[in-house]
Amino acid sequence: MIELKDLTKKYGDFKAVNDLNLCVKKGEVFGFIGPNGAGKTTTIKMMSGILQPTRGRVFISGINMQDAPEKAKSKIGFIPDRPYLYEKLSGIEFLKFTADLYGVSEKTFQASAYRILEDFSLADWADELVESYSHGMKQRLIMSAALLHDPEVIIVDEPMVGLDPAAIIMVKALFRKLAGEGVTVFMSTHTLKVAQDTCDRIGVINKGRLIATGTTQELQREANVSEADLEQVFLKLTNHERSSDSV
Amino acid sequence: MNEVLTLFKPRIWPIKNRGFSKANGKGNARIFLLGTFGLLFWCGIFAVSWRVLVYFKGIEDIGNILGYKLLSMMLVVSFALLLFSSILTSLSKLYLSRDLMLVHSLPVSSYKIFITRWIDSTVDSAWMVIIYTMPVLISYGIVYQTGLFYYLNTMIAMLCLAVIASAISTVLVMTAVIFIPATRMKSVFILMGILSFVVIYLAIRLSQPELLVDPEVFDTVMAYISSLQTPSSPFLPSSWVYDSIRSALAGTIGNSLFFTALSLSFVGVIIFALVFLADAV
Repeated sequence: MIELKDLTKKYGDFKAVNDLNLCVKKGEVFGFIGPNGAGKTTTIKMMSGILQPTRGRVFISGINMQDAPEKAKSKIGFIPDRPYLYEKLSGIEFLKFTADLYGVSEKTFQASAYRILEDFSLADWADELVESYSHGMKQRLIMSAALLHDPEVIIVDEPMVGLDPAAIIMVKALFRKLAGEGVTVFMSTHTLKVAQDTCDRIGVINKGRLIATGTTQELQREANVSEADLEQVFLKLTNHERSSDSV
Repeated sequence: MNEVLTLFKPRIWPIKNRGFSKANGKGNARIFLLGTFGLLFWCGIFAVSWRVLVYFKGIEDIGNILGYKLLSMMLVVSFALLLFSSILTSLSKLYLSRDLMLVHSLPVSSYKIFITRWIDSTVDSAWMVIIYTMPVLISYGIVYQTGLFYYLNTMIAMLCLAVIASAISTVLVMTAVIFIPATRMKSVFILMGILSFVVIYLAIRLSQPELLVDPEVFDTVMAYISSLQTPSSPFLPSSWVYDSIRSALAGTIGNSLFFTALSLSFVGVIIFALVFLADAV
């Protein structure tokens, strides 16, 4: 479960994230959408403990990120949009490196590392250096590393960037499967189709404020558009925000 | 401790992987070429230092003084180089490294990440300076016919100098970053350029090199000699290292140990201050 309470991040006078309150239940896939610069990545960085909030709290499986950051982080599998991987390590070494820091035992690592790499079609590349991987393969490797320690929460920023269609279908199915097993998935994306297909609920953020949350149908009602796809709902909600601001 | 060791693995494992790299042949040729140039340069420094020291030793009365003055100047310049090099590496390792987001998302405490980065930065910034001061210091050992104590003590004293320079630079960088965002590389580099110029200028001024080459400005030979014997600033860590090495060269082990202990105690204090500051920032 993820809980955000009055989460705020200020850079000087600029509020990148403004009083964000949100609860994502156990086993829920939550989509986080918003225009560029809306505060999605800042929110994700605060949720994953990379950035300190100016105000407010983040709870991961009931653990306060500020009070016990290591314990809270150990519950998370974090997948950034532009992953950094050590180019001179092999895929299996990168997995070993992250597994060691997550406290995964050698026995568990041996049992699960190649299985996860197999799931992500990387088993044949396990001993190759990361420098020889394509962007999509790197994205799949970072996903493998994020799942190796059986996280209770997955935080993922733009999960489909660089993935081929087959991998996109696989990742969408994987998130649904993990949610079925009780894993909470928080996913920021620009690909509204992915959010519509995969997420139980969607939150729309604009100018640092969460302006709407709900299922696709609830968002359609909120935007006063029936039978419209998420793209039109998103445009209506964010444009409405812009016009209210200009008034 | 295990986590700190694990954080070093991305640096250690690639050495093992070098054999698997696709650019293996090309890479090895480059390493061989650079290694050969490095070795020749090292031998060159040794040969020149040895010759100069043998020549100084042959000059009556002021030979030893000249030798010690040269040692003092070399240590001050080495300290300045270490400071400048550490400023660059600590800025890059602590604030601009591309893997920071990855390691901070992992369940490791920030101070352990800091310690790893700082050790990494210290090694990166100091290894070359230490390696290329070695031939000079070895030639001192040979010319002054010292024993094993000199080499051990010098090694410890030089490591202290590297650690002190790295810690001071890291404190400077951490303080500067409060006022100037690390991403403003250009501004930071301009500032560092000015700072390094000031540091090197001060270092050279403190060592008073003009006195070595212009004895005519002195009224008497005695004034010249006493000027050469003027110690450099007692607040410079390079002075403590100098005093320690000089005492070891002269065979006064007690004095040498005292100055090495002084450097070591400062290492302890500055590392404590560094971790305290890192925790506060």
